[in-house]
Amino acid sequence: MAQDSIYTQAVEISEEYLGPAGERFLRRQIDTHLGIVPESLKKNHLPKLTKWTELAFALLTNDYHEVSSYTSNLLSLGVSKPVSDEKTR
Amino acid sequence: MRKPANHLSIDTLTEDASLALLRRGRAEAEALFLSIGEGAIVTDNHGNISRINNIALQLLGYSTRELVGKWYPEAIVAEDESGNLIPNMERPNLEVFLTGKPVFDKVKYLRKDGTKMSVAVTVSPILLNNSPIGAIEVFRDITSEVELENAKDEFISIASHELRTPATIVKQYLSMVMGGYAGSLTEDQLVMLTTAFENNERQLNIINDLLRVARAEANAVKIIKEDVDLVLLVDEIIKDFNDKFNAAQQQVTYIHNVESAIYSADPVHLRMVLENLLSNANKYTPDKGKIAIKLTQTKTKIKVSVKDTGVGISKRDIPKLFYKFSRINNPLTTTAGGSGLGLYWVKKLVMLHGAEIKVSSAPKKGSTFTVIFNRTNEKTGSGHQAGILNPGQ
Repeated sequence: MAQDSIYTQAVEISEEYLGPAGERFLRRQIDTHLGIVPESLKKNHLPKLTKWTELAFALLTNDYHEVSSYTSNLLSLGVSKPVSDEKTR
Repeated sequence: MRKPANHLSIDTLTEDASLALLRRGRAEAEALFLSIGEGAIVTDNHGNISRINNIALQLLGYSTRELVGKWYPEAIVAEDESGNLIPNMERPNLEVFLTGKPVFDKVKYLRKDGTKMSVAVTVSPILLNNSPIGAIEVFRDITSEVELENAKDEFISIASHELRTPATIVKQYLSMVMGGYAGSLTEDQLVMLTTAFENNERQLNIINDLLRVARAEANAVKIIKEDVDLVLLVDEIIKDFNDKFNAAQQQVTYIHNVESAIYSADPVHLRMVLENLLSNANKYTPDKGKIAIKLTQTKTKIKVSVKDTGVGISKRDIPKLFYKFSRINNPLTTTAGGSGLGLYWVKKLVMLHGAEIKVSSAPKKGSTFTVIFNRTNEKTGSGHQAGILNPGQ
């Protein structure tokens, strides 16, 4: 089964922390700081993106562990996972 | 070949020089920060206040110890014009990281003693090697300016109401006299009364302009939207102006690339916008001039432009066009009359419709005013079906 795109996964993570505002929060920063179509987000974009999301999110919560966890989760996207038994035929 | 001792001393010297430069840079930055004539607050990458200058402390009524190290959104409480707390997501300090650019805003800050002050805020990101490491906010107290502006708007509102009543009564009585209710009139009397009536009418128009502006300033303008066919609306307005265009022997053309252009808008207010643009084109275009009206619909926008061969506006004067009571000096300003509120009102209404207005002009070459309606979430006309666009796009 095909894995979700990096962008879709990033939105899911953002919504975990920010609720429904997560997608807009992420989308605006991808658009502004990376200048790409959000759906074309790639792993190599994540370090630059997270530098901005980290500071922005730090103004939404004063729980730095929460900020750190959000940033780490975003950065871990795109890391290859072991192939599951459900293979593409 | 250098001796090891020399080599070491060169390195040491370089390090010293670097440190000296670094210290100098810091001292300069410190002096610059302290000499800012407005309140200044620096936040770090955790959203905590890392530095604050004396003016900011005086304005907010806190001590350094009470603010430095505190989480900015909690320490500096901001409200909007209506006194509602501004959500963190909408504060300029966050917006600056979403846009990466300086952000300007007007908000109200809560002082330590509970009083409020209106402030104009500018926030910029602090970048190190193109990466954000914090933000700097500069703000100034504009409470007096806001109070003065509010008092002025209130005065305009009250004065206009008080002026309208007697002016309307004058109009009624003039109409009655001109209608023969007080006996028959000589030709001279009729000419004089007609002049009085026309000037009273002009006075009432100015008073109504003032009242509209007062309502706009008080955010009391309600936009009641319905589907409006812009092709048809423009056509109707041109017909309404035909007598005026004919009187000035102006050549008017209207072209549109679609049969109908449906847009969700307040028809009364939208009519005011377009009437104002056509009225200006009529007034500021000399006799026998040309006025070209064009409506263009694309997938994402509907543009309505009014182009004239009138007196035109200098580049320097263009920004003044949309100010309250602005009058641009040109050969037709005096004869054209007006309160200097028309385009101010137009811009307000255009903005309330989520549209924008653009002007291009040059003296003696004419002007083009273009209203651009965004078709986001709008249906297309002519039976075509366009996809509904995401508002965020």
